Amino acid sequence: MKCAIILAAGRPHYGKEPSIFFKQNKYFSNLDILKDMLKNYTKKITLVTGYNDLAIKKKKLNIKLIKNSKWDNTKSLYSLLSVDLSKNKEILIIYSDIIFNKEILEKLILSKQEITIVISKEKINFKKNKEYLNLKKNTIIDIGSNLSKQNTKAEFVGLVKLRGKSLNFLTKLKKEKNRLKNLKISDLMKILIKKKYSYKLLDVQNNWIEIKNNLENVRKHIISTKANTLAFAKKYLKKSIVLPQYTFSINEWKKNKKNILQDIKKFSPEIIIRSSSKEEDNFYTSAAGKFISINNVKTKTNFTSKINKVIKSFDKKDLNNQILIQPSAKRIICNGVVFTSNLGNQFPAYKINIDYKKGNTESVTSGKSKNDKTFFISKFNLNLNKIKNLHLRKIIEACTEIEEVFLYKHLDIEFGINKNNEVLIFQIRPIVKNSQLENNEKNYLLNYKKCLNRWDKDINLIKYKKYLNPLLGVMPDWNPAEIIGFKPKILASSIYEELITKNIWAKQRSEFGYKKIKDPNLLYNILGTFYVNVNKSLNSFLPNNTSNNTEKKFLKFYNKELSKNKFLHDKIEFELIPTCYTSNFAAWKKRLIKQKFSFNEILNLEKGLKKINYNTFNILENSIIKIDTLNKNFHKIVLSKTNENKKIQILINECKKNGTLPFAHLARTAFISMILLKDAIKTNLISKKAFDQLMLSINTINKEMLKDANNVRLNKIGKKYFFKKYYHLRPGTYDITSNNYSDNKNEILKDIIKGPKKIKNSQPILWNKEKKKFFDFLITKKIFLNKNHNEIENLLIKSIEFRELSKFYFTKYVNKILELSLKLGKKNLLPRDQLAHLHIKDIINLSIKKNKDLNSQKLQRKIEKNINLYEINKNFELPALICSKDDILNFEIIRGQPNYICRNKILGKLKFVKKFDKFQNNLKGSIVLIESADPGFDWIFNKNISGLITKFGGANSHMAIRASELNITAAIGVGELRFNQIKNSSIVKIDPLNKMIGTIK
Amino acid sequence: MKNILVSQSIVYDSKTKVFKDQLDNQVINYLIKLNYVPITISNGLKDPKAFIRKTNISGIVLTGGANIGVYPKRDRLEKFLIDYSIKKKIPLLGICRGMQIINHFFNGNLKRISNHVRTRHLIKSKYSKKMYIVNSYHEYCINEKKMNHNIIPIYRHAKDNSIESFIHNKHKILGIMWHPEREKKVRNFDKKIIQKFFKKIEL
Repeated sequence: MKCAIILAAGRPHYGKEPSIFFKQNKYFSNLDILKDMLKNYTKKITLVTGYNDLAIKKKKLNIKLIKNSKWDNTKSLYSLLSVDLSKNKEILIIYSDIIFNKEILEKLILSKQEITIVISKEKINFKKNKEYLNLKKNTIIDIGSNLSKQNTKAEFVGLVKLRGKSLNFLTKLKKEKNRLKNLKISDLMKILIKKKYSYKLLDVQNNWIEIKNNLENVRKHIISTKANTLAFAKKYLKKSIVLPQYTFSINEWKKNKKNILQDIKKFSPEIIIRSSSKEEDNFYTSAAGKFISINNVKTKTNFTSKINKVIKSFDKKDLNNQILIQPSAKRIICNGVVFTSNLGNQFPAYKINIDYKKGNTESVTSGKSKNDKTFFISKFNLNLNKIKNLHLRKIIEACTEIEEVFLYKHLDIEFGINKNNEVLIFQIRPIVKNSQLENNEKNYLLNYKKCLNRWDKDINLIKYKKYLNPLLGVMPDWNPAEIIGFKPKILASSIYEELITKNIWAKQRSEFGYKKIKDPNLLYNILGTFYVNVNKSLNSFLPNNTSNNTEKKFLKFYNKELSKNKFLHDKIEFELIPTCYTSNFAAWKKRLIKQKFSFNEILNLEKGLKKINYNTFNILENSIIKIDTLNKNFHKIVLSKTNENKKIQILINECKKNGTLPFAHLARTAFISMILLKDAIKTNLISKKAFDQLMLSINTINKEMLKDANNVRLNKIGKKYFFKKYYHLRPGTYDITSNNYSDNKNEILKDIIKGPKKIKNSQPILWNKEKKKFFDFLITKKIFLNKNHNEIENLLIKSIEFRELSKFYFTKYVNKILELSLKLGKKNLLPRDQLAHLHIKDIINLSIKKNKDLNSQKLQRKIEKNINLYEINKNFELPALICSKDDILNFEIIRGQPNYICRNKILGKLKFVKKFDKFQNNLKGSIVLIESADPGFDWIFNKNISGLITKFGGANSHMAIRASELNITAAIGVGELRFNQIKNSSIVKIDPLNKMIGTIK
Repeated sequence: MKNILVSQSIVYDSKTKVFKDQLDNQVINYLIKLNYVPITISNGLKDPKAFIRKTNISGIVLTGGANIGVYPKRDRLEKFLIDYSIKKKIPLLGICRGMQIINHFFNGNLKRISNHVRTRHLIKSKYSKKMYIVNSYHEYCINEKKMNHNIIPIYRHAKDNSIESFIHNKHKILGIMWHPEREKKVRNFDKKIIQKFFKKIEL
């Protein structure tokens, strides 16, 4: 007689249900699976109960139950001895709180030794009172629950088979069972081995897990056993089709080619052969690895060579590496990857990456897709009816079902969709989880709710005019995303708001000849991201002679256009709305006529825009005077004897009056100059070369700095002089936590001084030749009125020159404001990182006295509140453009916006890597730039790089996963344009939180 | 109203050549504000056990000030108090130096740390990941490498990850590295922690 004894008397590590009822998935508990595995071995299963035995009884299981009534004071051996063992020739002893593979059980059953012990040699997590073994080769030196940490070489899994004489001994022990109540099964093994019974050890390696507190790991383990997972999924998933797979290791292949070939022939007539890896922890490393896969292999033909080809592609010749066979999917119209929670921070949302490429099943995972789309769909208030895209809906349905069935929320699912709109599942695996991050799901949901409620309350504010639809963007107009970042801290955003977006911007527009805005607060905060109210911005671009009726018509039209063509969001002044009169006005006119604008309306617009053009000359002059006073007043204010609080206030006022206002004017004039020049290139009035020459000849302050840096390098001027002039610049003008140049003398400046490119001051010869034609054209077209050539050239050049200079001057003010804030902070024991979370108004109100111990509790609570809010908010992903409330939750990530991985800011040297070069050793610590997020570049991760930028690839591509796994800051898929810009620089900064890539040099 | 035993530090008066007990009176006021009756224990006591028996205490506070090893008398008394609290199951709170001596008692040691003297910094909770601001007046912090495995950190410095507060796995012991008594007003955050602790509710 054979018998299996499951020891389930102990208290579970997790929850209140006995471990034997731990649900491995929606349908089956641990016991169900054990029963199923044992069905070919024996039907005689005995369950020893103890803890919560009533619950077990109630379930009316079809197996023998024996209660260990002293379960609380005894250990597993006592439980075992409670069972009547006399009639058995062979028994299996199984702990109830372990999960293991079927293969190991099969091996165990086949063993003919008197004692067979299953052990695990890999990854031992030593804890006191658990059962371990000390080994020397394959003989046991010691076994039991009281081994010291140094002596443990393997872990006792809790799976043992006893046969023959050893069993007889066991029945003898039964009489002494009270004496043995503190012993465990491993202690029994020690006794048996001392009695010289023969034994054998079976190593399960990593293919088992104990049900412990960390449920996540248990779930992950269950799902990781791929073959089982997919076989199970195939049976129980109704909303998707699961492709079966057949895997074998290289070792098996070498031993047993014939059988494997036959198995595959039975498996499917047409297959895909892929490389895979045995080790789950390195799953992505090699599984996606080189990603050699051969599709559409007919099994009728001889395909041995094809398998060998895949085997050859493995990096290391590890015989445990696996080959994965799946039937090739037919009539696929698109493929992709879903993450059922966000990589890195486990934010509860689906991130879906789809590529519509017929017949291809892996263009997304391989990172080679160029036209793929990425969707972000929050799990909060998920309503499938609101998702209009049929495929998306199907995928989400399928994914929710998979999550339910596997009782796990963090999955990475590869899928395809066929012509019948059926979802095919290729792979299901757990996302490699960063264990440090905790799941804040409750907080996320709460904040979503708050945000949506606030939206309803503020809807009129957001709409701006009742007849308009909401329209918020991070990049239009004053572009907060670029200037203060995607998730700015409150000090940065409050200074920016105070200096510009609260009212200065609107004042500038109305002074320039545009419409006056009644409620000029431009920014709206959604979950920590500042959005420009695009409706206000559009309105401010209408000339001030527009009547109310026409205004309504215009705004409605522009609003609709932008919500239809979302990609225009970062170029509204170029392609959505005319903001000055150019030679290109005819094209705008055509567009407006099509939209049934009347002749008068268009004529009026033309008049208004022309007037704006004429204004530029006066405004340029006034602004130049103003910024000159700004520069002069700086030292007066700084040296004045008022206290810091007042100084900050005075600096802000002066900066608004003579700094940001003229800067805004100059920026507008410069914009007009640029657009005129660019139009001229388009219409071949001037050549591109002439334009480039002109740009090179303009002496901006940036160029001056490069020259000075060069002179420092050549020892023509002193370093002191350089620092004195440029001390105030800092990457992130408004960010108190980033150092300015003088704080960071050694690091940033050293790099800049090291090797600036040679700057030639060339004469714009070609421009001088061609400009006359261009100026004449401007005058005859009445783009400028009553101006001579010199005046026009002056405008073009000076507007650009002084835009940069005014920025340079007013950032001096911003820097001083931050420095004074730091001083105040020091007096109040507030370091930078806490100051950054205070509103500028709170800083002005800080006490000036040296306050030894305390700042007020109110302030403290404010900082705590702001920090905690910031920490939560930074996890929310938001769209670049919001057209309705639903957009906050579900949106398509607009292309060209790279996907940022990891959250650490980094700065480093840029290295462009073109092709595979294993011996390239100088990548250490640098930021690597590559074209595609192709797994073929996986080797760069061995080179200790600090960051990664790729041209192509989506949020779910191989490189994205790998970077997040290794905690390497990366920007995946920056797009063609940005890529070429970055390529030419040598030092790059990546700030994932604020979604910024800065080229320092 | 519960009685709370409060330990004191020692100073040597060179004029009179006498050892004197010394206590920051903010500690006394703080405990009164939290509705406790503080009872100070002198470092000169010959039989502290007999003294404690008479007082009917329901908690012990080991206060801060000075480093370990300067006055062995004080160290001995405080270690006795820790031992006593474990035996009698009385909750014991260690503030700053108090926390350090608890660590010492369980065979741990300290290491130097910069940027922790006379400042305010953020700490994060192990459980909620919420951040709080606390004051800081110490030069040494717990050396995690040699820490007893029964000591469980519950608050850490948000940046350098040093341990700012811990509890004991088995005994009713709480250590905090900041000085709640030095705040002008009683902070809700501190109040909650301390009252919960002396009520013997698990943190």
